[in-house]
Amino acid sequence: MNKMRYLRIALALVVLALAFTAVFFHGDVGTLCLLCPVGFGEVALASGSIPWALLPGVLIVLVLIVLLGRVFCSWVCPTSLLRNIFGGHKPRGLTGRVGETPGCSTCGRPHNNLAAQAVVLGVLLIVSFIVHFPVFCLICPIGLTFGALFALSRTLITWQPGWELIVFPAMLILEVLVLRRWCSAICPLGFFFGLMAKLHVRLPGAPKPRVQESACRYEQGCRVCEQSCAENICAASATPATLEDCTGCLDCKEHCPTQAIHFLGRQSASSEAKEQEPEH
Amino acid sequence: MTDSPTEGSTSSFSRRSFCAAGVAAVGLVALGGAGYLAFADGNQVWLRPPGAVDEAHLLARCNRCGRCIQVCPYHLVQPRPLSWDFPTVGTPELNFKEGYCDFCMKCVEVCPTGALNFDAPSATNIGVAKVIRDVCIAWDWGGCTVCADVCPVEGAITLDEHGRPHVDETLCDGCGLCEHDCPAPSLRAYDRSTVDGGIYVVSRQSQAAAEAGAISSDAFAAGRNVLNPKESSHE
Repeated sequence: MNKMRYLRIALALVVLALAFTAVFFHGDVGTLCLLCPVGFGEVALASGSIPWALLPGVLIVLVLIVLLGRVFCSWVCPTSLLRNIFGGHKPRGLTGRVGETPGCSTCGRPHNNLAAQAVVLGVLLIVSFIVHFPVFCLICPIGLTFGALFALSRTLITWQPGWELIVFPAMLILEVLVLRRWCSAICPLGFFFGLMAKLHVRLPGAPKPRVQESACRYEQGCRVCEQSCAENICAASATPATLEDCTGCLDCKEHCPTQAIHFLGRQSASSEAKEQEPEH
Repeated sequence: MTDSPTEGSTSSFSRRSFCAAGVAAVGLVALGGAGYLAFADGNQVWLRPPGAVDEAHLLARCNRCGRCIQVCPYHLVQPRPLSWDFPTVGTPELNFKEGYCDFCMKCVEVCPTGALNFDAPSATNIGVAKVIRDVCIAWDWGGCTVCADVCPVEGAITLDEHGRPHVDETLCDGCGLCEHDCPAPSLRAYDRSTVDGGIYVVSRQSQAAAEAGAISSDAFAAGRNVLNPKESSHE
């Protein structure tokens, strides 16, 4: 049933497994930390020297987000992995527990909050500058995941276990499963990705949910795409601004009863028209 | 095209988002402050991989990407465990349990932030070996010559007239082969005191390194990871 969900879990696990097994095969695989725009900024400010070697990876990720959308969030990020594995039956997206019919029409759809993420980003950059170490790296769910893996490899190699083996998973549970809003309100990576997503949704031909009007049953009351979407996006009525939160998880495409949703291919004439005339 | 069509209608959601961001911001400030206090005296020092810049700069530059840990052919580079010096967690530290450093410099090559670089003085000299005189078999009973036999640097470890090892601190490059091969840990397995090896490599900036000749296990345990004040004043 949840084919896409299992595929996402598999891909994120492969990324972690590559980094972990590299320790034993001495491969220069690196971790996702090499691609991190936040880490780049933190290290630059904390050390007063720009880590140029990190820049290509950071730029590649940002360009990929512009081209493909926020696929990092649903397909690679360990946060989504943990939410997909331990988050229960319903999908959990950027805003935590959603994926059911919105409670009321007036309260609208929860969305990624760029301003809140900007506050966190600003604070972490200032603090890193003052205390001279990259402070967010110590609590970042991605950093904690790789930190726990390296603590595990160290334990296997030197038989010297550390408190990380208990503390890091506990912090991960707190951040990912208790602080549901982590991705949409705190994650400073989400700030960069959110900005790039604004470019992505305006990029003609870029992969995003496109509805084939002739097959879509929206007019008949079908809301399957919205209900299966972890971000509560209704593909049939989505505006570009709404699609900024799309993480390309492909759940809507999988669950659409009439297979009316496609991510690739030319935009249909009616959705072009919708983009020029936003609902709000 | 409006940027946020739902902005106005989700004020309670936005408010809760800003609350979450505020909590995270306060947490970051507290974490930064606690880390700053933990290093306010700035007197911790660890045995870092070759090419490591000094402690303060390493802590600022290392983004804990783990590449040096992955690439080391001998599993020497290991992440620092979580301790009261929590800002150092995940930064690279040397552990000679699995082997010794042949200065292949792969860790320096892969470091993307300059935390390890070829220009640092430690690129050719990781640290210095210290004999622990109350643990070393040769100092205690005599007869053991393992560290002097295996030392790859001519003259770095010599035996005196009693057959006890002495480290020439100007020649030793801290490769760790003596620490790796020292048989004292297995011979003294019955006595799990603070240290079990008879010879350890320590950072040249540490208090343990500042003490001349072989040192006691107490002085070693107390000074192994403490910065020598003389080193900090001339920096």
